[in-house]
Amino acid sequence: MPEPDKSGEAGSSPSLPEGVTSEHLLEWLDGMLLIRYFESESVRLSLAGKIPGGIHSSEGQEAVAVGTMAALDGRDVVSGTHRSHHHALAKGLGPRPVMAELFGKATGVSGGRGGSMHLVDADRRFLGSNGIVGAGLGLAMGAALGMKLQSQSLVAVGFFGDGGANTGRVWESVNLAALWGLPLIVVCENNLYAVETHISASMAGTSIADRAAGFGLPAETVDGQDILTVYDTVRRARERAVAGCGPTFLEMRTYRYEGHNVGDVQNYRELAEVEDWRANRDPIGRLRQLLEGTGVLGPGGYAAAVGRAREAVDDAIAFAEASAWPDTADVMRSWPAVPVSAVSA
Amino acid sequence: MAMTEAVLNAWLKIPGDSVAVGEAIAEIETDKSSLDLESPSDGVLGRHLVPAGASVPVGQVIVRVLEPGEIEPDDNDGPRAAAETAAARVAAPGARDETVRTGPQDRVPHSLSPRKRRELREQADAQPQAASGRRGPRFRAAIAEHVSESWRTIPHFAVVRQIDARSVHESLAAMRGNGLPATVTDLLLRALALAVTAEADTAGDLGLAVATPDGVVIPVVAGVPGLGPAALVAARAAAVARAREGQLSPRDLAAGPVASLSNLGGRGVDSFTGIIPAGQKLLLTTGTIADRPVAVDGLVTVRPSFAATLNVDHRHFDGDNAAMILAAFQSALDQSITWAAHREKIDA
Amino acid sequence: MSEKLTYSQAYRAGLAEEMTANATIFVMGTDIFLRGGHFAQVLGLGEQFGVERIRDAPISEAAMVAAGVGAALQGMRPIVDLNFLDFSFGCMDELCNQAAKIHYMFGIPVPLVVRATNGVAYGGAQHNNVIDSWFAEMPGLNVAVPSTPRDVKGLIKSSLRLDDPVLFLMDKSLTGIRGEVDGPEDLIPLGRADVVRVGQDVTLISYAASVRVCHQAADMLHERGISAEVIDLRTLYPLDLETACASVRKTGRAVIVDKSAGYGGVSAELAASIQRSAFNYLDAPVGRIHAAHSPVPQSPPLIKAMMPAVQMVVDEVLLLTTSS
Repeated sequence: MPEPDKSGEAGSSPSLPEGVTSEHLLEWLDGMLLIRYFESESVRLSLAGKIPGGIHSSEGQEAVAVGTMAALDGRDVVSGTHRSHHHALAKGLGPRPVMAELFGKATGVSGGRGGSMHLVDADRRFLGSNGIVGAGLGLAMGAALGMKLQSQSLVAVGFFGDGGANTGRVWESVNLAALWGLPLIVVCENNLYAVETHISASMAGTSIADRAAGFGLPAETVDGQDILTVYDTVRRARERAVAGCGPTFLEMRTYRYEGHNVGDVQNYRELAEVEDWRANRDPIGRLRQLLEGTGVLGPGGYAAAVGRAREAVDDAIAFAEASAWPDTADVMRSWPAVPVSAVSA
Repeated sequence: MAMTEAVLNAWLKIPGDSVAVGEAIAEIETDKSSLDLESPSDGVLGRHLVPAGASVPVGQVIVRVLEPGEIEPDDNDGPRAAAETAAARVAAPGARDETVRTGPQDRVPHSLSPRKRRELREQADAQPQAASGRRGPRFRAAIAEHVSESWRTIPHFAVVRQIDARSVHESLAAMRGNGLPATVTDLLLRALALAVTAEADTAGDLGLAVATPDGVVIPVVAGVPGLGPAALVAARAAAVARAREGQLSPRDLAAGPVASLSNLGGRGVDSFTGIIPAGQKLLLTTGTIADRPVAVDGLVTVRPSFAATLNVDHRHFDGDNAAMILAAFQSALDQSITWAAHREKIDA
Repeated sequence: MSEKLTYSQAYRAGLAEEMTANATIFVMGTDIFLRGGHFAQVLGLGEQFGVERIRDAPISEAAMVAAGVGAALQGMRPIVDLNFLDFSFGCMDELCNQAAKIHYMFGIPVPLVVRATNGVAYGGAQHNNVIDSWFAEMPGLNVAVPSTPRDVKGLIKSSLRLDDPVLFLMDKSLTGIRGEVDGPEDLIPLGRADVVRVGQDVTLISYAASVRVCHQAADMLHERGISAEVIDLRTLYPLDLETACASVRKTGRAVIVDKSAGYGGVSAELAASIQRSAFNYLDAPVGRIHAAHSPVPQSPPLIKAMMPAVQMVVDEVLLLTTSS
């Protein structure tokens, strides 16, 4: 990580988006650090056998999540992908119930029935991580339809990745959203790899945003590692949607430091590439640089923030370990079973 | 008097059931008792050819035991069909089919549907249980008929002898000392059997009169002279149990024994005469063993004794024969001390 | 209160009643506003309820069903009209991985109705798939298969008041049949079969268009002195096993008639359940009459040759009544 620029004038700051204060930035830092340590611990726990089914780490993609959620109203709907721990935590789901869900415990956000790819929070309007590529976008699009039909001043955000950009369902959803003018923000979180395939080997054409533009809706390409840019772009898209101007397509360029899933043997990319993104385009490092450079974060401030994040994650792990397993008597969860008649003697 | 018919009280197995040789397949009731009809072989039970409650003449085929895979012929096929299958018959005792079956032991499909089988099973369950030991009013009537027949047809006379019972106590003590639950009846049976076989041509089977709540029953203790103490005690106990539980075997009903014993000694009876069981020729009726005054060498002393009355069919035996039998009875009783002390090997 | 309506009219009547009473109900489908759907199933409702609530959608089944699920999660009660059930192949993920599972995974109910026309008539293999049981087998989905106008109206009303997804399947060969329907508060609950003909000797079990085959078979059997009881399942999930088993306990014989190819499906489910529950009441094995295991052909005599026919049902019953 590069040294903070101590030669800069103390007190000078780049222009912040409207309404964003230093406090917000510090919150965003905390939010990203929480995700960072949650993810690194999840990987470790997954390798230790504590998380059945493993996880898909979002380490490196923190700014996309924290920046987006910061621009939304608490009642706005968000739907995710199979790689959505960062979306969930940024949307306000606590590290404790999320970790418990990964463990499969009854105290998990989905009662142990969902796991990493089916996290949910109905009250916070996180309509789930989703195991099917591109499917989450459809749910967000439907929620946006519901908002429009009920004249709610809300938006829905649907995430998908560069892999989803080649599925039919994604573009069917984009088409319908654009056709019906739905209050939807489509976010393509392009981290350059779909499972083990680099985007250059799976995508015809070079720009996902350009594909979207063909559907007649505004489409932008965004530096997903710059939290201020992410925030600003999403805020503007939200304003448009709430004003009734329809959906916006955002392609956010980002990167994942870990493999597709835990245990993924990464023969498909060079370590040097990973190191380059970590060193030069790390979203947390960038924000830290900004905050220390402008004096918002003093000496030891960053370390304290890291300490808080670690503490919260350790607490979440202890909570998950100590929590009970779901009651097996409740496996059907109120779904009516086909009655099996007793044998007539 | 031979049995000419019996009543099929209840089916215990339904068509299609697997049966094993010796397994009870029906309960039949004769004049004398209820008994289980046993399967003559392993196999699969065929159709019930008579319904529960029917009165069946002796010898009529009531059900077939089929080999696995065998198809039951139509009953219209007549004698040929009967000859080709193993049949369980209600028969005169002793006349059983003893065919040995061989062949593959594959499962045989039931010939009736599950519904029909359930209905039959429910019918069978609804039958009142024939509790062991209880016989109907038919039984008393049967006794009445038999004793009346004996009374009418056998010219009875009775010969009495006072039997010295000194050896009885010693014999009993010896047997009980060997751990046997011996009774006076055991010694009486042995002595009677030896006496009768010495004087009459007989195998040594004896009838033993047993009182039951429904009336007197006379099971058979077979081959008495050849039995050691333990075997005789066991045979006697088994015969009494069969009589009390109403589970007489065909051998009990067979017209075999020449003589029977009826011992009322346990009831404080001094002496009595009895009615010889139909088909037999002799009945020994005995009274209580008690110390009685007796003259020995001119002096009065006290010795245990009991009255033994030999009831005789005068058509076969005269007074002299009877006296000889009674003398032989006394001798046999006295000589039983040695026999009674004999301790049989464990594996005998 | 009863009037006579066609099968399609009965659907419209039930839907209109519910849409009038509940503003969150709306319909999405291809060609539904003006044309009223490919089977006239919503003819006239566009005029009555407007373009927002009778909402034309592009040929985009995946997007339609996804929109339906999402809107349901946002508090609406959508109906997605697929027109043909055969088009469901294009939205299988949305139906089976999303709609069916969200209540279980997330604890949030999905009050979505997906209406489609099923059954076998003309038009070739791709428009005549019998896959009703597929959806009944998917945990999380309910499947309604009405065979009469009364059942259509009563069941669509119940479906629109349920908080869980319902596949509402209307048989294409029943579109024009007429029958009496009931009033606005007469609901037919899902999971309740109907004994549509009482008999003593054999139970014929079926649903949708095959119920008529059973009635015809029952008439022919009556002439031979065999009294057949006919049961219309009305829903495949929940499946009313108890009515079927109670009938078989009475008659001792059962034949299931199903338009699907015989491999698996609701007829196999019923046969297995009946023999287990009512084994000791059976006088004969449980019979199944079903279509051949083949795509549906185009030429009418070929279609006839591969579908269950009345004579096949009669022959099966005769076989079962003489072999006990």
